[in-house]
Amino acid sequence: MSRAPSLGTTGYDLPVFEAVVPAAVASGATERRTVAIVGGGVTGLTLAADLSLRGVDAVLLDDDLTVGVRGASSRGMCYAQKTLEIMDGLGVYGPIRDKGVVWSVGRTLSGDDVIYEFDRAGDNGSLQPPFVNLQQFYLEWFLVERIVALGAVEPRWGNKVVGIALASDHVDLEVETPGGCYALRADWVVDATGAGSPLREMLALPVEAAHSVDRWCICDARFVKELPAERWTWVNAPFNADRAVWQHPMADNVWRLDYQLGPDADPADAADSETARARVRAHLGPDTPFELVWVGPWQYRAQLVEHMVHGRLILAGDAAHVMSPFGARGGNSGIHDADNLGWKLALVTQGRAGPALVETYHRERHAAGAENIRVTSQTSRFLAPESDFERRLREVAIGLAREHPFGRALVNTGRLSLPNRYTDSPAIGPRGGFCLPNVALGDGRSLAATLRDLGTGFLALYLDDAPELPAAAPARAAKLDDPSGEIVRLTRLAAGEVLLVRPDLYCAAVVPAAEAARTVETLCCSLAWAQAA
Amino acid sequence: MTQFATDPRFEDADRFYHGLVEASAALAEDKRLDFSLRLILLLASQIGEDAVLRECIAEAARPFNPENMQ
Repeated sequence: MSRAPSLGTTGYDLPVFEAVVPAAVASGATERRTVAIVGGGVTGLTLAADLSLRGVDAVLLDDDLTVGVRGASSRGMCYAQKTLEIMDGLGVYGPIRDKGVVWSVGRTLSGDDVIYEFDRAGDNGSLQPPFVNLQQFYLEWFLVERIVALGAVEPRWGNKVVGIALASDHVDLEVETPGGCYALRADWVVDATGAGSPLREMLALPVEAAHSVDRWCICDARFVKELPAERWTWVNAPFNADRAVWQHPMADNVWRLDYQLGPDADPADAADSETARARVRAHLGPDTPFELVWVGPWQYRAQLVEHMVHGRLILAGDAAHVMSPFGARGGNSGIHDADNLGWKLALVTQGRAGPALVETYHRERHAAGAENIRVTSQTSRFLAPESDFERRLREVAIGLAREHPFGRALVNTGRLSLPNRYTDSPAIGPRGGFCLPNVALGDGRSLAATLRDLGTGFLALYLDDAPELPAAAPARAAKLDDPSGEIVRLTRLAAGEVLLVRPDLYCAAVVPAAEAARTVETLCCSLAWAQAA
Repeated sequence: MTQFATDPRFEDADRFYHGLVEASAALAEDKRLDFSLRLILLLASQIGEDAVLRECIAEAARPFNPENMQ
């Protein structure tokens, strides 16, 4: 990995990786792999790191030579607790925390007044904080370094998929490299190529999409000013013609400043550096020198594929679902997709679960995608009223919020990413479907680390008598030592019962000890179950 | 017995707000006031208690009373 000279207007030094030309280019033979991940964004990289740790044969194909969406222009920057817990399990939480900005307080302003505030600190017993802000390419960079250090999954930079064919038990890819083309046949292919997925296009997979007319302009700026490490959102900022403004601290003294534009704004004019400079100057005041790091006008859309699993092709992240960024649900939900998928692919490819387990990825994450789109669309509409009725409704809601607590619940500048609940999934049993926090157990190890110790499997936690589990079952029993008391509080685990925790830290089920073994079989979509489905 | 209350009681405030937005957006502009008034009467009937309803009316009108005008 070599350091490139500064990339000019992006204001960052990003790594440039060497393009990989695999042996199959010269030999002309078809390369065989268990899993091929296409796309090295946060979703694909999270999955690559996860599969590396689970010992699954995989390769990662990316058509670019660096991190971020074409360099520093990738715009994700807020990582919520569940994501940080996942990164803890992957061994990259430390660098993320050290480089990023840890925060828990958010304030919503109207004019000069704070009308709503929250503090998510101390919500639960998790070892990770509610949020860390960090430019997306840094998160990707840390993941790349981790994947390279683990040495199991090869990242292939400069490898572009130009052809795809689905079969019943594999997927054929045609891959273009700077040295020539090669054929790759994988048992499973994961499309993590983003919102405009070329794989999806090639296969003409159905997508439901809705475009918004609301326009914004990001003006990331580097400056030093005594501002708190908090999320500030203005519904109507006096310094932005009474339109919305976002202010978030990120790494390197860079701030994400995001300005809602007028309905008739010309994006080219908004992107003009003088226009951007004037906007930031009005925001920060005349006495704060600043440097623009990146300026980009944007519009959002909502988009959801009909199905996230097509035989042996699996869609993840933005390739499957796109939403407005309010609430930081885009990047976080892609990472949660990868976390949901990794252990299922591991169990299925290792022959320890039925192939139908992969279908539960669709059930759970498609519902999560729809829920995230619904929640973010509500915020979008609050921020961009479309009629006089809506504008006045919002005005009176804000007026009530200034005086009454109930009104504050109506002011919606984004509902930040939380782990989605899973219902109606074969991989969820009685009393399950919600996410457990990454608490420290009695031996000092985190719940995530304890699950990683199993390789891939369920943790069967009990209070008194250990359940009997077949040696072949992907599950291990352990007496629960829960100093925080959070696990018992959340699951209401009682004597004589067993709590089955999935590798993604979801509570899979709470069942009587005698039913533990049969429940694991059901949750794994055992072959008998799969044939019946 | 319902009490006049200003603490948050919504099960899902965003869903309620968005429901209002969607319902209004489906109507012609000159029907939106009638829609709002019908909704007020429906909600008021859910509450029922006269004392609470009178407090709600007074609180809703308060910012527009002459003594509160700036």
